[in-house]
Amino acid sequence: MPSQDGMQAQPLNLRQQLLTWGKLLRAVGVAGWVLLSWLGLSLPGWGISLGDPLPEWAKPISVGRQQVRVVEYSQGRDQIRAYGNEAGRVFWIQISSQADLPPDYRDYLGEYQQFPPQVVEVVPLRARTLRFRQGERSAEWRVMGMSGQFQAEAISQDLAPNGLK
Amino acid sequence: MFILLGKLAKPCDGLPWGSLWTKVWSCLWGILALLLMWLGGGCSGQGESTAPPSALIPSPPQLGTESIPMPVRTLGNSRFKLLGLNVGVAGGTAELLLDTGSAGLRILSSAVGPFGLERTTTPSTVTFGDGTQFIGVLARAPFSLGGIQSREPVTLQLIDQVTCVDALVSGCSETLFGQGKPFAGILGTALDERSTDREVFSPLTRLPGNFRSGYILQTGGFNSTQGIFTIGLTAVNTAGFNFRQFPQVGIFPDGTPIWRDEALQAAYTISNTSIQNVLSPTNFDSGSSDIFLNVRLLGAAPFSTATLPPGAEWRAVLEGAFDYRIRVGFPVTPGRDRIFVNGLLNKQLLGMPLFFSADVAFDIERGRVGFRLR
Repeated sequence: MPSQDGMQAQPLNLRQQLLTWGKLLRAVGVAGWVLLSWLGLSLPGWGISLGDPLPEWAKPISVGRQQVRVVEYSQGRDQIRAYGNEAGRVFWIQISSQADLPPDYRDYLGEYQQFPPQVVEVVPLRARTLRFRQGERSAEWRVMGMSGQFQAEAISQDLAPNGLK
Repeated sequence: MFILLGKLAKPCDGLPWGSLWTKVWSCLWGILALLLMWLGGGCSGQGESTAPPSALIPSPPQLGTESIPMPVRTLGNSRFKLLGLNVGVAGGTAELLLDTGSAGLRILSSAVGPFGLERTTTPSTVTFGDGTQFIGVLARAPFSLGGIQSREPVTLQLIDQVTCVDALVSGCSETLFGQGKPFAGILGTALDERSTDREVFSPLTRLPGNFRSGYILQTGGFNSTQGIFTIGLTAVNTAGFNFRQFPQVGIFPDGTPIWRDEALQAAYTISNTSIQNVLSPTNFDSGSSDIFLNVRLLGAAPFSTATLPPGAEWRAVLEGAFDYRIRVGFPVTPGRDRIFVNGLLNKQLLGMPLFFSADVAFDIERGRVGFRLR
């Protein structure tokens, strides 16, 4: 009987060990997810503005006949796409937003937001274009859509490649 | 006029025979003056801004349909054009902007009557692309159009404040909405789901019987000051329309079908560009004073100009429905030939220029849109 007890006790220990390992693996998994989530949540802090250097991992694409490099990322309820010129600086940012409020130009215009603004065009309810200009340098900010489905873009006239000005 | 005629004719009553001829002459002169006044009044009426143009003839009255005046408003420094429609909400009446591109009734709280109004505390805010923002709460109220009462109260946005989201840079459309301003809100009649408040959708779906089957917009053309809005579709009033079907993509909380009204693909051509007969999803939007193309969706790089220049030729073909062309004039005229090219949306917007060129029927019940080019 004792031997039988012993025989019965060994599989229990193995099961306990497996359970312990399982718990450990689960804890490591949870920690990994927490770390990944933290990194994911911290990404929005990495905003991109006109004039910023484009990250190394930007992909080459063609816009019309022009070759440019682009990065895409999400930030909250916004999908953002930033294009870089031949010097690797961001000249064009497109934002697709499902938020209730339109994207804020201050998050994307970089130093251009300090330039004097003017209203270029207002199409009632549907669209607005602002221009920020100082001397030879200028950027435009355009918004269309409505709550839940905004589209916006910031474009620098002085950083844009010749074919896209 | 008939009351006035009766009052002026009274001096002819009970006259003594002695002065008969004098009185007869004075009566005849009076009648002549009245006739001249009546004719004069008739002629001046043609010049009034509310008279529908002679080309617009409403369909004969039919059971389950109602035709009502639809003012065409010319607004702002650039003289853009938008449509108005008088509606009744909780016993009050007001002119709202008629917008086939948005969904739901949004009305200033000051324009709403007290009868049957249930104001909630649920906040409701909507912001438009030009920065115009309506801040208010959700409410329920009886709605009427052309004297036709809704079957039940409709959920709406009660606007307490109209503002611009960005105070730093002025220039939104807050001047269009308010007391003493052109509109007291927006009547969004889109067949699609286009509101962050899911229960706010086209109130026309709440009308009784055949009145909720659909509606027709007839502007009368670019120079018209008043068109006709018809609720209720019949075989008679849709004769001559070419219809295309929208896909159904769901149902609203009350079971009303949601039709994807931006799913139809029109083929676009712009002269002297790479854009030749390129298909793209299109929305038929009376709330857009102009045409908005997104040329990137048509495979082109952004244009260097904001709008197509004078002399440019543009064409949109919706197979089986319309072949619509514009040659841009000089100067470019908002509402007629102003075509913005660097739009940002994932669709093309055919705005007021299309509505000036065609009568447009929206079939709520069967999820279709029909066009009858003028």
